[in-house]
Amino acid sequence: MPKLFRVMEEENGQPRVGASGRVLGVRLPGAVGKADIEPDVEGYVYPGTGGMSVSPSAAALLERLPPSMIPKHFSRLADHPFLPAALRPVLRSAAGKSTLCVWTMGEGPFTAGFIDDDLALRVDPGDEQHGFVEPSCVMMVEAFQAALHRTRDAWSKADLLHLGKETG
Amino acid sequence: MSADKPLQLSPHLAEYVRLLLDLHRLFIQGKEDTQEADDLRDEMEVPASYLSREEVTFAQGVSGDLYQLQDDEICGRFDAPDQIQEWEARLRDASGQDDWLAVLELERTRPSSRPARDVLLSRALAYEKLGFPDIASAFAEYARRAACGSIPAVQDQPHSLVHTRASGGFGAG
Repeated sequence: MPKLFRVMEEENGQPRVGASGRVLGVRLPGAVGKADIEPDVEGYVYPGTGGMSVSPSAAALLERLPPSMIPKHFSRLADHPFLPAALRPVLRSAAGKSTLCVWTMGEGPFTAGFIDDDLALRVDPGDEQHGFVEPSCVMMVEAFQAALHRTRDAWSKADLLHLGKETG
Repeated sequence: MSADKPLQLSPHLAEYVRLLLDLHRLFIQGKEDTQEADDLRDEMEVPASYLSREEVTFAQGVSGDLYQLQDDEICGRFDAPDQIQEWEARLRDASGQDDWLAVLELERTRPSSRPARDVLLSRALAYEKLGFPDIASAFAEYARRAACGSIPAVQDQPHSLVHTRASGGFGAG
């Protein structure tokens, strides 16, 4: 399974499940913000059409987050000696909720492939430091959302003290 | 965002930056961990979901700059005379060429001796020119209050997390 990173709100020591950009799940049409995946008229979703945003490293993740999605207390890391220079302007902007955490799951390389029977990673063709957790086959959107929610136990909090080493 | 690339002001970016200013106003009031602040962050998720990578980078810069309004900005600093001379020349060039993104970037890694009020006014002008009058007003108002002494907390050394770097790369990521 590829190693994935995502910012999500914490609830009882695990990522909160739901249907927004800050939880474990996807935004659907009609919900808050731009939909992550568009079901067809019968409610089916398809591989290769979008899904839950993830990144291959905490650094790549943070660089792509707007300030309101970066936990405010991360600004304290902006002066960390091992922090890559490119991340300093990112962390100095942090203005997000204190309940947001960086979560990770998996161990393998960030390449396209199955995550479990229902989910697959697709690397963003326009940005190799970004990807989508998508349905692995045609399924109802509710089944896709439920499959994402079932990964809850697989996520753990990322150790940001290794941020610098991780990114070289 | 590269400073030589003109910023395209999308409605989503304008909305996001407007809400970001409101959020920082709550920070100034000490309300960063309140329901009011969290509700605002929830509201920001809509425009945030439409931002391009370049717009996200710009918004990060804005948010980092806005921390100056609570004397809590993290920025790069340097003291070497030759660096200061070079920095001043670059700032003159950038403003002379109306490259306001470059001006903002330069202010994020600046001479230790640069007065806070000069930074505030420089940012006010840059944001005004870039089409963010509310952000510009916030910096200008803070500079005005600092000048008349109603904000005694404005310091030229703005934050304990100040970098002294050999070269001005803090904001160049």
